[in-house]
Amino acid sequence: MFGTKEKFNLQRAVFARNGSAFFIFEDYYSHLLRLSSYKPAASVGISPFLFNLRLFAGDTELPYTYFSDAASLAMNSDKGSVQFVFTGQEQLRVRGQGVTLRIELCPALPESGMVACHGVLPLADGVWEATFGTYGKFLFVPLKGNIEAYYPWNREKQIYEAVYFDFIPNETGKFEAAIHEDLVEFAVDNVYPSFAEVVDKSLESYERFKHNYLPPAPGYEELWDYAIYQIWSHRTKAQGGFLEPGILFQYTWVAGVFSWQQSYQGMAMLNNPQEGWRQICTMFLYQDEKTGRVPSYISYVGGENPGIQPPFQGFALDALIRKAGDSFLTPAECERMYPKFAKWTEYWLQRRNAGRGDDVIAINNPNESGWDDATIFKDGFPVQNPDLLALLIVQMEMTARLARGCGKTAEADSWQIRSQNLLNTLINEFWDGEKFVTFANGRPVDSMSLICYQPILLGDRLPQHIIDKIAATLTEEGNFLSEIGLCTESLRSPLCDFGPNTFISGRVVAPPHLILTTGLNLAGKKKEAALIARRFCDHVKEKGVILGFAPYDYYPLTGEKANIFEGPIASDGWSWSTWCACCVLMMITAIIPEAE
Amino acid sequence: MQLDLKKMPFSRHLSRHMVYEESDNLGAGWEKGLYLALASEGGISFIGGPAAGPKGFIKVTPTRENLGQDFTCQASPFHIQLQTDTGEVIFVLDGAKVLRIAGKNTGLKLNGRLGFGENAVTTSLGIELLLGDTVYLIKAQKGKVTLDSYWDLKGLRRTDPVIYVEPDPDGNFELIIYETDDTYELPAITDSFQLCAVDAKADYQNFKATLAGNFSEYEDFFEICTYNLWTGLVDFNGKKLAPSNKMSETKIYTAEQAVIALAFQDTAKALDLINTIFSFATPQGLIPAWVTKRQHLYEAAPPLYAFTVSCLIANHNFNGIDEKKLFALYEAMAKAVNWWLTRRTDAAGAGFYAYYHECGWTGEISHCQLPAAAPDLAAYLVLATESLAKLASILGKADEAKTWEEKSRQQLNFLTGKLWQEDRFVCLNSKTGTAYPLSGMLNFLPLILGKRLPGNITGILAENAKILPWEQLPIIPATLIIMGLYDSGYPSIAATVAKTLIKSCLHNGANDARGKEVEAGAFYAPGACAALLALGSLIFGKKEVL
Repeated sequence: MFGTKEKFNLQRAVFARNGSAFFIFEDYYSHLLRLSSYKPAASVGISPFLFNLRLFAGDTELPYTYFSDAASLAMNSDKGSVQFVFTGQEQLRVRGQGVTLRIELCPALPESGMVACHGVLPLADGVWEATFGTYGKFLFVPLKGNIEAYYPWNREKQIYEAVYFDFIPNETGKFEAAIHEDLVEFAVDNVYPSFAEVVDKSLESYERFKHNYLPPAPGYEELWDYAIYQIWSHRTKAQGGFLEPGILFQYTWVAGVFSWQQSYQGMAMLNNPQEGWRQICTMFLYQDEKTGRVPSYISYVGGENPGIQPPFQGFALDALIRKAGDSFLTPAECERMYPKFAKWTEYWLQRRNAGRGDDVIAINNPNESGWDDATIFKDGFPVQNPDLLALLIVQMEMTARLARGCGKTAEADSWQIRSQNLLNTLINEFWDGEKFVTFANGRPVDSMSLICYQPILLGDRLPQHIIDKIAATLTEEGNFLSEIGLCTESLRSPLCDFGPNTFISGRVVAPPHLILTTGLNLAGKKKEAALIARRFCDHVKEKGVILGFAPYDYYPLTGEKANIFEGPIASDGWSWSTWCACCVLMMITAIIPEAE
Repeated sequence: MQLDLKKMPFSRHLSRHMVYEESDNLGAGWEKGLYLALASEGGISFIGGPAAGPKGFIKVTPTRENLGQDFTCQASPFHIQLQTDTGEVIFVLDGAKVLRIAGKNTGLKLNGRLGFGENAVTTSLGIELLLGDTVYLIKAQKGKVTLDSYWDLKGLRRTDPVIYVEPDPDGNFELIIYETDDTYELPAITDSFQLCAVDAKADYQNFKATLAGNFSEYEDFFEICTYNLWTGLVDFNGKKLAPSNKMSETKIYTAEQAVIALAFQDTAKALDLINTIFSFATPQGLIPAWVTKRQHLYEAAPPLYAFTVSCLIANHNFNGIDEKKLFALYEAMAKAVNWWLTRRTDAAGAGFYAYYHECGWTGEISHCQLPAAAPDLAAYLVLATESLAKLASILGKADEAKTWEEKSRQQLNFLTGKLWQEDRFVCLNSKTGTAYPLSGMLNFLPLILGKRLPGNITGILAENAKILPWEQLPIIPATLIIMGLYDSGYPSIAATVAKTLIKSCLHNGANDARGKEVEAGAFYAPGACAALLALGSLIFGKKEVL
């Protein structure tokens, strides 16, 4: 799948596994592979907890290439090779032939030195324990050959000068070892199945996970594999701060399970709506009992972010039901989830209420809409923005659906009426004939943001003239539509910006594609939806499962050159992400096939 | 008592609110002046690294017609008064959660700072600074508050807020500042500022009554220590624990909690603290070095709790303590001690540090090759196992008591045998047997065993202790050593060196960097204050006359 000579390497993607915290990636500058763990959630841009993977023959360092399939990664040199595989039990397995593998602590910033290492301890039978403070602990266990550790201590500075572990072959030229990781204390069972067995299990797990998704439209088979790999490999198990499996956004820059992304993930699992529903519900495990707030993200170390993300669960559930039926919504499920949905919906309607005497809400922070730098926010706060109103309309409707599913008819009716009323308000007060308008401090914001069209997610609930207008706008070449998909700010806008560290101010970004193409599809504009989806997915197929792209290296409005930075940064210019992966899966398994 | 706000914050028991004077001692570029601050809860952000620190939160400037005014400041433990040419401003804490500020013939300008992801908004409740889990709500009871801040769309953040406080037509303003969260459960407000101060004083006096005290010397200094211990404790999931320093280092170190327990003469309170430490242990019994609300560091720290429990038994024998509580203590402590006896003890029964940091004072053993059997660890284990034997005996577990007694004897024999070489203690490499002589405070820490040590050893240590650099030693181990000297039969030497230690704190504060550059407001660490109070009680405590 990934390799030095493959279509995609590990500079932007990572080699990882479902239920394992280890990951390996290629350093952009040195081209060495590097090993780390996502558990401490340390960004690779600054983390002191990164390990170079180097090969040696005697004292001579060997250049290597690498190749990985879904389960194992091989480093190949002229003298021999090394293979890695991860288990789902906090264990990395490695074996080699003809070479020595060096795993060397090497921080992102040289000035960090060996600060991450708090000590190395030789144990019985050639085993080494190394402790890295809040970053965790590693246990190096030789199974064949031996492991030598080098960790000179600087007495004066009270810090290690270097830390590395050499995996040295035995007399037959082979070595094999296990590396355990933990953040607390090791509970090692000393059970080491064969390397091949671990590889098989890992592959089995990946293949099994594929069954969550419908087959792709022809021509997208390879992208389907990559996208599913991305999600499978970023799926946590119930451990640490995670009460259930969740899907991490990334490993390398922001290793968190983000609230609304879990719903994006769930709605794409159309071949297993039961699992899709579980995925949509998973963040309710962390819901604040008093307030109903669902936290914006969860990380391995636990605790919760105090912020919120948009109420996306209703839209995801609606899409899941429409595409895969509602067999998973048993009365018991409705009984379980109705109060949670209701409390979360009320959280939004009460705590963000705009004070108009109805259910229109207003926010004071763009992050709560999910669109951090969209130009709908250029005139300040508080804003009443139609993208969130649309989500709340369907959120209330789905709350009604759950209430009805467990026999709470009166409550269901009440939610349905409120949903309909807010829909009427949205149409009557926020549609200006061209787009949905955001109001900042009561005044309309003159914005050419793609987010003005997000209410299309309401699908056939909207009047036909609005649907037609939005479909026409979104498929008009050179306005929002580019060769690679929809720009998040009109190409005709003077505020269009694809520069580094921008998100929704111009770049072509995955999540709005899921929302808008699903909305168009649900509104009956299946061909228009597929056209947009193909533009984006064709680009991802070539460039990788990356959150966003600059559509051009210049601004069509002015001809001015755009500042595009290709190097490693945390914004959407860099990492492969699961958020893009699920958006792509929704489009290639549902939106595109349904138009054909 | 007057507070020097450059050295310690005005605060209150269990409160995160603080008011201090920034003097930028470290040259970090802080603007000097009076600040409101909020103790951090030690969170970490999802991209790693610390959350916004507690310091430099809001700079306070009295104003007249929007121009800054010079002022003088008088701070007592229970209220602060600013005086300008034309008016005055008073600060009190109304319980732990509410800071109240009133002004006459003056306004205020509050310059705040926001970290990534934080926000400042005006709502129907007032001005809200949304700081992670915390809502810092500023409400004008009298006068008017306005917020000047906007969202920087490209910077993806809110600009630092400036809050203007204007008096009403009568020249008065009054602010109620709540430290709350998104439940917005706001406490009731006390009728008057005076009553707030009276309530704070009563709370302080009640707290003081739970401590060992009644000092014959250095009364003012011990009063400051008491105040800083009172303000240093915070609510941690319903338990009262002390961060290392509410101003500068908000991790809660488990070993320091054991020292804080030493300061209490109320045995139940001390036991609560000790049991809280044990409640953080892993299933195997490892007690994390520090905890925050979001993360624990699972590395071993020296078992200082052994000394505290030993003192509690010696002083009170747990009279009047519920047997259930004692049983819980016994079980939890046995698990923690067994962690050391199984994971950090060699085949010969010698306890060792596997990593330098486990010693607590890395520099003391950084010349030793690891793993290192160390005399301080052996001493702690002597006390821990002896205490467990006594607890087992109190609980009627005679067989277990015998086993613990035997273990205690083994540890003591090892300490006084193999670890005592040529008139000093050594560290021994557990694998090679190489001895590394100790000359620093670790050589003296076994004095905590008091008369359990042979007289020849204590005699040599007592003599050599006279020339230790007490002005520079970390306060907690220094106090333990001095208490050990006292218990070993050297009260005069103990009193002399205790005075040297305390004198070094009089102007420089109770902190391990005293005499060097210390952050503003961070001169008194609660752990050090507690240790000094325990020491003071032992050496300068007025003996009751019957």
